[in-house]
Amino acid sequence: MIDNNNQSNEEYLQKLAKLQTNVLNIVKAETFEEMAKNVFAGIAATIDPIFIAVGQVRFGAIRGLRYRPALGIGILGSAAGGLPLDGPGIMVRAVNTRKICNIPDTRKDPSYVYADTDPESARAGTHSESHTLSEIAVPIIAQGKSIGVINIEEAEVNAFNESDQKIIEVLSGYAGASLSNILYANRLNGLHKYTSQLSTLTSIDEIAKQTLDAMTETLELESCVFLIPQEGAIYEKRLEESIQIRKKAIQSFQFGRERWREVEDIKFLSKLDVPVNVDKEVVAVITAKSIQPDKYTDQDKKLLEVLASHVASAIQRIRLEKEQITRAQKLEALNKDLEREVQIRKEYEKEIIRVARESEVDKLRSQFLSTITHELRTPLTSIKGYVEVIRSGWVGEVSPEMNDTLDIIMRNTDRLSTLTSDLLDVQRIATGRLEVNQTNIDLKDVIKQSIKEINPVIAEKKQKLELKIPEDPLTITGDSQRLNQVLMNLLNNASKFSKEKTTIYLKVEKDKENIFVSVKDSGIGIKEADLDRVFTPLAMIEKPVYVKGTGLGLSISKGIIDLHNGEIWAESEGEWKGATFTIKLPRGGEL
Amino acid sequence: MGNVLVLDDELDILNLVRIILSQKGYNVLATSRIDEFYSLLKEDVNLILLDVVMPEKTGIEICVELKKDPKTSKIPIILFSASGSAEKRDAAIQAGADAFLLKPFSIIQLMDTVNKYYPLSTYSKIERKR
Repeated sequence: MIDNNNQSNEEYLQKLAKLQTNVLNIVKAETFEEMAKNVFAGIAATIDPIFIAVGQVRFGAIRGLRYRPALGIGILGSAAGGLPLDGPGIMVRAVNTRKICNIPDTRKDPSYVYADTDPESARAGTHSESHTLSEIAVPIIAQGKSIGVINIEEAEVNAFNESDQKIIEVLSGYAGASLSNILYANRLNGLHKYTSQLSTLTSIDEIAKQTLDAMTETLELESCVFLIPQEGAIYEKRLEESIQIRKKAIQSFQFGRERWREVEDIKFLSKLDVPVNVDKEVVAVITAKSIQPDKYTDQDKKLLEVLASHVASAIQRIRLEKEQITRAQKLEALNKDLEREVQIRKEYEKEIIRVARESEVDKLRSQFLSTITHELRTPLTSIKGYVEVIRSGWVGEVSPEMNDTLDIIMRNTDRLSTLTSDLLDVQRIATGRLEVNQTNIDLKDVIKQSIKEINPVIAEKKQKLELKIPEDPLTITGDSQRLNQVLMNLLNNASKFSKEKTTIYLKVEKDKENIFVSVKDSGIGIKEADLDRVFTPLAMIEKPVYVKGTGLGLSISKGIIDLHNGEIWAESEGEWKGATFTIKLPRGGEL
Repeated sequence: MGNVLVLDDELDILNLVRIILSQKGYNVLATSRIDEFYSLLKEDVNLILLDVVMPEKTGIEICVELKKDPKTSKIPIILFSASGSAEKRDAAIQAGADAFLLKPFSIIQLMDTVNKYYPLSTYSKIERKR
């Protein structure tokens, strides 16, 4: 039992590790297609089923891409029309129930559709859904709503194990965050274009039409109404594309099989009304309607509210122009208008920052990293422990040569162990969750400890460490362990990026308010353009070619120094002219 | 001399702790199963080492339980885990654990912690007998 668990955990872990690049690409994707292709790549590299699909819910149908090793990437759905959400099928079920559907044997699943199939693959003989014997569909969820689905299929019964399902779940989490960001970004951009046109319009009629265009085409709301109560005027617009998409999905799903339904009249199952207020008076109401039940998210609501406040500004402007009011009044009103614009813009910016900060991507990334570090540290504990057991001579005599070899294993285990901690630290810094335990300390004690720890490293490269440290205590308020981590990082870098037999200088100076610790080497140096960039986690930016290693250390160091209200910076004359890293920490506290 | 009781669902690590503690002269009772852990608890136990992340029940839950039960509340408990977040440590302390050890640990770290808490428990045991 335990062995099985270990095995499947290990398998899951290996698969997770393989996914890292794909996951990053999914998160960075700017279009649905790009996101879907990276999901394919991730699944193909880990599970490798005969069929993968990534669908997006649009206008009562699932549309998207599918991948078959034999055929490559194509459009999803029978006869490529997509899958209607009120039709049968496992992907549809996953979307509608928002639950994972794992069907180990499709022959035993009553609702399974032996549907057929796009003519292209039928001809090629490479596919039929009827060859599918096991299948998993996982909904892609954002803000509590299904916005898509990932599906994998295999031609054997019981083909997928628990770790496969977990992999798909992990991917769907990232896909959800990515897709919701893509959609939101597109909509915000579109809205921006719309609002910049709004100021050129001269009648309410034009505003209504323009607004409906923006609602349907930019915000992808399928059916919209613009009501002006005082004039009894109603404007309506349906997004033609949405009707076509649904019709096509229903018709194409009937391809090659009995008709299971007619394309019916459209019934609207959800509705969102937003009033347009000018000076507390409702001058218009904008409404979005959808054939999907429970369709609208908080995001939809927020966007419509932003839209409504723009409409209000525009209507007010036109009214003012019509009424030919005095110039002074007009100016005042325009001023108010402007204030409102500024306010809206501020809200906008806040919203964008909030979305970027708290995005689900961050949360998922945190979870992913804590899982993976926990799973990495467990085998590391065994490796480290058993090497020590051997070295202690408890399982037999250890020759000096063996001991040297064991030292190498130990050193590298420690490196791996530091790396896993670094990964967690970077994430904690990015999400503001790194903690420092500050007390009054003598920075000299920290420096002494770091020197003791770095000595074996520089001895190995026959380098020299030259010190210039004042006699009297260097009192600061800080976290010894974290500051040691920073110093070790700087000293390790100085040694790593310098040639053998060179000298590294560690210098401490102070003035009335601050203590300055600098580490100077004569190594590969840093290009001017990269001086600030070296403190950014390199996963996020293009890595300069001359940098080895993960590039996490300096960004962690900066995070730690920031929490000490200090500063850290790099100076270099250029490539191969050495570099100096300086930390500035405020003096403080009595010991 | 009483026993050190160790529970970890990772057999390799369980075995490792057993080897180290036995080499250092401790009597060790080690198990990867929770039911067996509870029956071993009836033996003469002076110190308990618990892994935190386990499938059936976490070390933290077990720790809370043992510290509540008057029969076991005096036995020092060391929790160890590969998750070193501040929250995990806080949870361990709040659960009443006497120490928290982050994996991977060195023999020295393990022994320092065990030595620190073991004699104390023997002492209090003698005190109680008096």
